[in-house]
Amino acid sequence: MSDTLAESRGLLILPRLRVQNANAISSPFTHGFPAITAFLGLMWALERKLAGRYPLFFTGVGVICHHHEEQVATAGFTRAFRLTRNPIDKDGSTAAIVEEGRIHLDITLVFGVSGTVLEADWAIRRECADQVAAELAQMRIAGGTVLPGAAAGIHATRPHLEAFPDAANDRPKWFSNLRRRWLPGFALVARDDLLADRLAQLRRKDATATTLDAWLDLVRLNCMPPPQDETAATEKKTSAVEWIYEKKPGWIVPIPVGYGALTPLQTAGSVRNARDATTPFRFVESLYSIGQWIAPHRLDSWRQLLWYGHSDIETGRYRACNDYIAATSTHPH
Amino acid sequence: MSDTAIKTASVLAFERKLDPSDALFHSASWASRNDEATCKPIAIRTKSVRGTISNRLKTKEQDPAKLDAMVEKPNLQTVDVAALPGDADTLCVSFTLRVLAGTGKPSACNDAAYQQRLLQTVDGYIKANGFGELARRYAGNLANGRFLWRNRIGAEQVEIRIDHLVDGKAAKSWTFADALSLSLRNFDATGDDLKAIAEIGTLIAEGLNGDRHVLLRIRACVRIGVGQEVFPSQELILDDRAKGNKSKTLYAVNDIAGIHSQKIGNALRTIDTWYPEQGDLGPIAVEPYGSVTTLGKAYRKPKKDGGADFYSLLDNWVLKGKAPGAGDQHYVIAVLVRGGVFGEGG
Amino acid sequence: MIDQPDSTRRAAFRAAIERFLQERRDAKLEKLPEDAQNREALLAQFQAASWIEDAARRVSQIQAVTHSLKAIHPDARGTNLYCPPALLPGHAELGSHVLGGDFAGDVVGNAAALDVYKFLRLQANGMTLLDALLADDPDLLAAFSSDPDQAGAWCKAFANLVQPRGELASHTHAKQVYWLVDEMPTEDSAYHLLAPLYASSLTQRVHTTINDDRFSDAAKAAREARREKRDHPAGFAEYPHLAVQKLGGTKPQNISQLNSERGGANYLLASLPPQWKSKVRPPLNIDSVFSRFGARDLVHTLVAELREFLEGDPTSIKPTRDFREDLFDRLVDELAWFASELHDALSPGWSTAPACQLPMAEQLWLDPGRATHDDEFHRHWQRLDWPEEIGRSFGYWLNSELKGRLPVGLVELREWAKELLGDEIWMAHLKNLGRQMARDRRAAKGDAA
Repeated sequence: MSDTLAESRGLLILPRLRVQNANAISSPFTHGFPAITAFLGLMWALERKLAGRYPLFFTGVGVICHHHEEQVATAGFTRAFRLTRNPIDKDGSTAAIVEEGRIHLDITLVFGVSGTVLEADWAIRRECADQVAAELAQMRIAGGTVLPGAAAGIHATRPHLEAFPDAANDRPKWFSNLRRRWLPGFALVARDDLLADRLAQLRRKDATATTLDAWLDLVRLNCMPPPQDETAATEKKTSAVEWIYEKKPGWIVPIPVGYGALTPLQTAGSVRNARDATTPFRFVESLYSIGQWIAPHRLDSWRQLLWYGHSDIETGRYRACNDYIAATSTHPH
Repeated sequence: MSDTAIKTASVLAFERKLDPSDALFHSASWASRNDEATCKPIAIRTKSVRGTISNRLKTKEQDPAKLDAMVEKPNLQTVDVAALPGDADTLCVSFTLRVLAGTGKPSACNDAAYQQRLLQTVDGYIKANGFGELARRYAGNLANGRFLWRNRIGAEQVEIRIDHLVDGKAAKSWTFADALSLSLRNFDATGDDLKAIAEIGTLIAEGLNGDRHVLLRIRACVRIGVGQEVFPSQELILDDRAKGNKSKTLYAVNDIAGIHSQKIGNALRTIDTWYPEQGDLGPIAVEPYGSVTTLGKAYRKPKKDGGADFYSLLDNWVLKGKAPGAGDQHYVIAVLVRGGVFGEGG
Repeated sequence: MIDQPDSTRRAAFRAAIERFLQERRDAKLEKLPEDAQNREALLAQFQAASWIEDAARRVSQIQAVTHSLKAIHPDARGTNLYCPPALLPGHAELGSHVLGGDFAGDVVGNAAALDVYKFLRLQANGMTLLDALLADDPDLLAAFSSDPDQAGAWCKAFANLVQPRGELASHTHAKQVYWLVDEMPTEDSAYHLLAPLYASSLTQRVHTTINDDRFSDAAKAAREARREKRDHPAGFAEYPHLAVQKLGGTKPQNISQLNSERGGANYLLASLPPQWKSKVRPPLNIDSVFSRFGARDLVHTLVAELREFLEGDPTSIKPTRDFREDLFDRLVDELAWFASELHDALSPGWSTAPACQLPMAEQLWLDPGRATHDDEFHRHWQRLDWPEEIGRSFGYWLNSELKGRLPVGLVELREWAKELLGDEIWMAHLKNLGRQMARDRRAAKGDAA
């Protein structure tokens, strides 16, 4: 399996899906948007469902969130999830509540695709896109239900499947056209670079600083008095000191990005109560990094948008990857 | 059929096959209820209430002066409420219902032999019965407006329209002009209603059977009177601090009051009239133990020698080839339509 | 690891054990009346040899873990794992491995046997008894008993504390996800089944860090200094939209020891996307939206950049043209965003409000949904003469923004409008809208019929 996005020939766009009651708890440390790994799982399941119907293969998935409504109560200093029911046990008593966070979403899904259906004429591509949308409507997106009909209003466009323009020069304009249809909204991209930078920065002051310190430092709001020399220079100690919040380089969020193995790979069938007896099994924990929500018109290319799976079986790293930074520095368009 | 080697799969789960959306509340006047452009969303309001002193007082608090002080400083609370505006007498409740194929096909099952036997069992049921009986009852619960819950009580008139959506348009529609005349206690209807319910039932059965994609839009107009209170779902919040001083939180989507999809689903599958020891309760929701949340009671309890709960019935049927009675067969299949995690685990 | 028997080390282990037993014994004795008959029995129970013997038996009721299952789902039963973080691969991402040697172990199992865990966590010689016995420390063995066989047997029993119980198992309530490890999603053999466990030790570190940031004296002092606008040696931190999930409901001890210590509270940090909708107000009581558009921070910055650029070098050599094009593209992008917000957030027909004083062209541009039910409006929209007017307005507005310093004449004015109108993307988008509008109208008519 390659460690970059597989070669893509076009995009399949499912605009403005309304998803109801998706999982808002994306990992043991995060809430507020389903894990990007759930969208990878959706992509793989979708390709399985379409198998044999169209020569269409998925290379990656991008998510643009237009609107979200998390089901939380906000009266206190921390938020609590609004639950829908009080389950009862077989004897009629109240059963243990498993807190499940829910969120309603309006999203556009963008799949990187390849396959000869992209060379087909307009009508066949449209039919194919409609079929994918119909299939998706029967599935769950991150545990949520897809509501029929795109979100109301003038933005409701149909699913469409588009091949990249043949001439590389035409692609930026083509992509600009597409991305403007995704407004208003925000796309999720990976910012592992920020985590590495912050760690290096913390380590200059404290050699024992860890990735956890860097991660928390990035995602919280740090409030500081202004640097010492300035205050000293301005006035006496009596003057009021205006504390300042650290400025973030964009809308930075903590996200789960995949899994790290805790055990060697177990042979299929050797672990009791596994979901099947034919797939190798591994105990894992969630791995986390940094993501950024970015307006689609700030994306230079579709490569910056798409997420794909990458597995390093040796070290046991199962990762959702995104080339936002790689595509920015090497291929502006 | 009685191959004793087969055990229940330790991992076993099914996705729900009746997938309703949240139901949303709009207001209208009865006369123009079908002009959807004039309907307005109903929002949730917050209202202050004075919590009165009604709990039993501790001995030291029974001093009259203390009591006065407590009454003067009551526990100020807020609650959510929702009501029709002053110019509307009708509540419109709308949702969609997607019917999915593949009942009995697990979303997770780790025992191929068990899965095969399970599918055989469900196939046997479908060959003998089809989904007709279940679907007729689901359709009945659309027609009688059970999904309105408390909003149905005290209504002057309830009209329900059901559209079969194909490519976003209503391919066919049915109207139940007097849904209140359809009983919640049984699934008997007469005349035109019977015919319409049968047609909708056929459609739902086709959806469950995988003959076609079925998507329904349901819209109920409930005439309750100008300014009357309406009843969206109530939310459960475990953390008291997050709740603040609000003792009741109601559900809204994009500021439109609504009923949770789970609650709509619960009403639609309230078709179990086959449970043991029935009193005068009528149909209960299809649940693995026949539990009725509002009563805190389970009507299908497991017993040592073969209870009427889902697990006992399913095991007997699938593992031992002992098919339960016709009613309990419907019930077992309806639990599979409901979905859930049913593995043995252990 | 440790070769030579060392009597000082042995004595230190021994002292730690004796102190632990004495404290527990005394605590129990205090609760007993002086003349209680079972006093003797209690004293005997806390003799080191008999207590350790009993503990070595009871240790099987609990398991020390770093990763637990029940926190995933309270009804799940299966394998819990003890994975010393230092032995996990050092991924660049955040995971338990970042804890290194310094981590809090968790315990699952019978809470009545927790004292055995506390015993094994005793510190002596710079390590815990557990660390020592996992390393077969001869001094600890000697401290346990003078009989090497006896000590060895206990040691072996205690070492089981970190071993998974029974064969490896997952559960029907556990999370298990299929992960594609090969190219073809359609091949069943292309997957691994991944079963995430709850990283309890890592959670403990996150939990204490967040609690320190929220409640510690240092944090309180910093907050107070800020309130009083004083200088202070350290800052404080906030966690916006922090959520708390309860694990185990009213019985957090059923999940694990650390979960119980955390009161079942599991902190969740927010990955929420930005929320723009609540900030959108309808553009009422103004005669053009461009003033509002220009007031947006980014637009303001872009215009300033453009002005600076135009002032600097008016010659149209290629690189500068590209730079100007780029600024202009970004400005048009912002205009598209601005319009799309109004399209999305406001209900169709908002422009019919009496307080709407926008020119017709701007209404047609910003309230396209109104066309669904308003025939006159729709006819006007479909004529598509209004985009030219929007272009002109945009040109006027931009010109006035730039005019302060620049002698911009009519030629330039026309150029701005042309560039906006000539923007294929914008026109393509409009044509899309037009087609959509026609569909909406057909659907609306179909409904009414």
